[in-house]
Amino acid sequence: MADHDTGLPALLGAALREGVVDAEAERRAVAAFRAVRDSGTYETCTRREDDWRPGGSAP
Amino acid sequence: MGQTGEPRHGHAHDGELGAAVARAQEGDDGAFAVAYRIVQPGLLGYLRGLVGDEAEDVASDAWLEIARDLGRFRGDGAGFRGWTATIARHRALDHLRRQRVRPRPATLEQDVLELPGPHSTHDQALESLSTEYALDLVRGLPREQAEAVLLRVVVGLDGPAAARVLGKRPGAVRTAAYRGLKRLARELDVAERDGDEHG
Repeated sequence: MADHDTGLPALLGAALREGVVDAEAERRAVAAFRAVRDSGTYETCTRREDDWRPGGSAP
Repeated sequence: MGQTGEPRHGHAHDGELGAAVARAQEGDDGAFAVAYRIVQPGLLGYLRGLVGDEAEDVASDAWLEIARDLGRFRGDGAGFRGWTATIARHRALDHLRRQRVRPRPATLEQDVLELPGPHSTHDQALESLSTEYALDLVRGLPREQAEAVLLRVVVGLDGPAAARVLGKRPGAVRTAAYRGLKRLARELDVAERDGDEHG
């Protein structure tokens, strides 16, 4: 596999991650987070698809 | 590898990301904003490859779900990239299903051949790629290859994590990413030669 730190992969990565993070979109995401946190409906039950610990759940 | 002293591509902030996610899970909204800022550029790049101009809207939907389900997540910074990419992918596929093949404009291939322009040299083309050009190139790939490339080089997932997001075997995703990158390199070459001939 090609080295992803140099050459084309690095260029593609840089080009496609480019752009400033939209402050309004960030505000909405954080507001959603606060709403869930403050609503008391915060769900902590981990389903299989939520377990990304190393060596955790396989695909 | 890592000659510049920076960690591998998307992994640059994984330590910071893991810490921010852990604090956000304890209710810290500032930490959630930090995680957002670290993850969003890669997520948006991936979504642009999947849904084009709708990427911002799909990303917003994905973040609502991420905010809602954050308490369920278990893992480190790298795991959070994988988890959020999976959520974003599901939202993107829902979006595409709703949209049901509105054909893309036919200008794509022409654009790819016209850029990077008659004066560009090989070196110039390889120093930087415009976002639009890179996106056109990636969107010209078969979807399987495009997704594998995007998850590896834009989101910054390792092979097994990319495979898990796609629900495929790591070997298949490795092959798809390899073929996709090879094809992109070839197309870049063609575009450059074309530019030279006409310039």
